[in-house]
Amino acid sequence: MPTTPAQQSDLIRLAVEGDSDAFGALIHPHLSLFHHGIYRILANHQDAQDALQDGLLAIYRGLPRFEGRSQFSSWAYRICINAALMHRRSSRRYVEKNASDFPSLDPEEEHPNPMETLPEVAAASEAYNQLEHRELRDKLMETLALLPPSQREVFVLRDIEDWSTEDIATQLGVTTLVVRQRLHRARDFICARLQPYFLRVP
Amino acid sequence: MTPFPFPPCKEVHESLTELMEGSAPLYKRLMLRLHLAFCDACRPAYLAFLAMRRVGPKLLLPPADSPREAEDALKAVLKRVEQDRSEKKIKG
Repeated sequence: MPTTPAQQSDLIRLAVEGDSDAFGALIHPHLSLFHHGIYRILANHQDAQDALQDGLLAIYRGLPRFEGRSQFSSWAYRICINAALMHRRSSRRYVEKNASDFPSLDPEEEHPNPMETLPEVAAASEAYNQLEHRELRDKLMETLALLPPSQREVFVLRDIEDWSTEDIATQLGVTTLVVRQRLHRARDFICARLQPYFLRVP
Repeated sequence: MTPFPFPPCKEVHESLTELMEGSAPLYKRLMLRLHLAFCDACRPAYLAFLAMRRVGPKLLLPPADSPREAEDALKAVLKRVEQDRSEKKIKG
């Protein structure tokens, strides 16, 4: 059940004090959003569950530093996306020696981007349930899963999450040129499979 | 001599993302757009790219209910939070 800002502030205060019920109540309205954001990047249920767990723990540990400069859901969502990116890096055995090489999960520390462009759960179900979009959505998810992970993460961050090319490059530690190349390959791959569907979209 | 000659289809196709990002120089963008205006082979690809950017975020909105694995992840974290709290109490 959605919470009001005042209720949310109370829940945050209680969660900071270690109240697990309050933390659960704070997270639960956004859980589907967080999970879905992670799953889109990792395209694997087990990895998504692990990354979500990491993300939720990072949210809990970061709560004392949450200053309310952005919406809680936006702030927490960004942490979950960062957790997905970290998970992908670690699955590629990037993490071998020093975890401090990697950026903090806390978006208010590391990411200068405003975080107000988040798709909200409330708006989700209507579009999600539209029958004419269901087939295309399923095809898109299938196709995303077929993309190489490096292309998938760039595509999701740019075309779905609407990050800037520069932010993606910074986050992934590659040049903007590489981001554009990966993005182009991803779009090309997806369009090659789904062009007839996309051209039917009004 | 033009800085970017009238581009062939292959080059247009490879430049679609650059065009959408607005990162190409003006003259190059003009040439690309000119090609797209007349080329029946490249235009559908460009329109599909644009449509994908427009509808992609709407298509991939999360379902109203969180899946089982998400609930399990939250349960595991809540258990961990509860353990941390208990340990703090014991230490305190």
